[in-house]
Amino acid sequence: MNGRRNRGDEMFHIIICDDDESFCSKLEESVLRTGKALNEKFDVGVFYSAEKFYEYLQAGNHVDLVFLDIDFPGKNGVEIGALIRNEREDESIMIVYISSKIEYAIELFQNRPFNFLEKPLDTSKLERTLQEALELSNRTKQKFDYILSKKQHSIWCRDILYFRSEGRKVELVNTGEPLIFYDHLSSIEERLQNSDFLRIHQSYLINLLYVKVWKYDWIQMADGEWLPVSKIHQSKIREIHVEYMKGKQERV
Amino acid sequence: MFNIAHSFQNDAVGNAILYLLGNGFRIYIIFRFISAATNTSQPKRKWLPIAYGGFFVLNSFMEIFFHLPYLNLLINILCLLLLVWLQTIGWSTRVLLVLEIYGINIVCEWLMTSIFNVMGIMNHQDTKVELFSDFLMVLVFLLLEKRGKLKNGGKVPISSWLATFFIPMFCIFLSCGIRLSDFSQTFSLISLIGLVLLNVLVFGLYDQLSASYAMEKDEQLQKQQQRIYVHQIESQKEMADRVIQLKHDLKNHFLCLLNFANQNDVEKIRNYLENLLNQIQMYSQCVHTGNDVVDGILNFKIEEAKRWGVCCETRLQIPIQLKFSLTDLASILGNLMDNALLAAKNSAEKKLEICMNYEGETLFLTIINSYPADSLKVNKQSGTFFTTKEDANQHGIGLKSVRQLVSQYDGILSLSHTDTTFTACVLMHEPMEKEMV
Repeated sequence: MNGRRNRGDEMFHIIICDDDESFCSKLEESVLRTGKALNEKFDVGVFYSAEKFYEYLQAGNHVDLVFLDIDFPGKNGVEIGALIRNEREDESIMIVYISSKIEYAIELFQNRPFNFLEKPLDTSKLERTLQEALELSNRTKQKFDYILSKKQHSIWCRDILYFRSEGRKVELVNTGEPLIFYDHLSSIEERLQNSDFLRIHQSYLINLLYVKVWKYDWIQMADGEWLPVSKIHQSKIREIHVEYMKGKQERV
Repeated sequence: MFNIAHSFQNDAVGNAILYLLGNGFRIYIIFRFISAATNTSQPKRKWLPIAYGGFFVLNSFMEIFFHLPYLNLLINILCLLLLVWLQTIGWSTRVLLVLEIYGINIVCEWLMTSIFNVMGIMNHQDTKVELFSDFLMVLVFLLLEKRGKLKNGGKVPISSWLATFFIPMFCIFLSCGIRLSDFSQTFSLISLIGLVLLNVLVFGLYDQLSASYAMEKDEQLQKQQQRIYVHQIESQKEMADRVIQLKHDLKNHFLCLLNFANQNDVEKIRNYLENLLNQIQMYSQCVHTGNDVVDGILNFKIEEAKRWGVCCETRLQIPIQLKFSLTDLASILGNLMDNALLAAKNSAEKKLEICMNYEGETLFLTIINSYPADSLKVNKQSGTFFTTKEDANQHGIGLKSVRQLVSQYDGILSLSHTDTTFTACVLMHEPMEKEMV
């Protein structure tokens, strides 16, 4: 996991990646203007080629959000998205796809995009997207504390995919190596109450942000693991799912 | 009168016949109750007749030859458990169902016994009490069904239901009358047997009626789906026609422009081109997600909305390919759009908003429309909505069929409203791909 350094700094790192230079400068201007209006520090970088952007990521630079054009000559937005998620196993970078038409291939959705923006740019939609991204980023800037070998450690909530409990042990599945420590899932659930974590089963507490496939009785997480939704929770979780989608639809 | 009652009780054969008949009737009611309450499509069918037959034989045998109330109770409960076990339902539902059936049975029996004791007609050991309690069970059962607790076939109109309800009720009344009057015992026996048969027949008729209503509902649903198909084809034809029209127009436009060019009138050419651009902008307002069903239906409905002066806004983020069946998707979208459009065009604001999102192989659809203030009736108790559509036959069918279709994909339809807007939300999961199952 290369994307984890610099997490502590206050900057919100945004990359614009599009081969349309005039659009890039227009988008950059709008992003900076929105940042000023929201009183947030935005660090904006621009790439005209998808490969160059990927090299930048591979060099270990941290990016919070990328505006990624879908139609590129060479490697396109779909492929780069898949590389980020599958090769780099970077689940936390937010991908906002940009396209001149609203015809989207199914592969785009498999990269768990944060949102889609259409050309020509709708600035109010851009503002909403940035606001939502900031909110999410601040929400996940929470730390989760756990005790391992009698020492207290902590991990960013945004790096946690899910918790699995087995007897008295809890396995914390994250973007790196899984961590195993002694704790109770119910107590963890209580500690994480104001975040995006959801108890789907007696043995599973998941981070909603990293759901890859959502079924009524099963949920697949970003790491490919299928987790069961217990019968007693199913209809309640569907309601939560509806509310979650509703909230998302209203905001972006 | 006491004499008659006494001699009646001595008549062992008559009593046994009456008991067998009553018991058979009671088991038939229980059978109906179980199958209606569970609404199972595939129970372990081949065992059912054997199980119910066994229940009847065992129960009757024990009652006639041993007549031990506690043994009978035990056998009753065990048999009920076995019958319910044959249904493909969850454990908790099974236990609940047995309790419910036996509870109703016991309450009816107890009620009838105490009524008779109070009236002093007969002592509570009399087997005929059970007959009366069976009539009462039918009443309770019908009431439960009417309250929608049991999911049985199509909805039978209230008039037919009332008719079915009054028959067992008057049977109780009539039976009391027969017991109280001075008829000969043979006549009484025949009358009571007749009443039981009458109830069985009426129940059979009620079931047939219910089935025919269910069939009618199915037909209506099919018609609705056909209608949507026709809509889609019409919309595609309209598009094709427009392309032909456009080609024709284009030729005229070029001729016109050529004419202006020949006259060296740049100003006229400019005006003409600006006009054309405006027109193109108006055309390009149509939906184009690449998904044929969504595009077809939305464009068709939005076109219709525009004719009614309804302002439409769309926010669509869905993939070109969706794994839902085309007819289901068309039916869901078409029905919801029909409802929304109908309300929006009659409202003051005339607004319609359609949002579709796709995430984690789940489709989320929201349709928000303005509605005229007096058109919405909400049943507070059940949270269901009634439209005041003029066509009574179509009443509520649209939403009902949407709900049914959505549930096929483990999904849910949720409706909500404010003072001016009505919102329908659909969440449904894409079916698993075959290799994954």
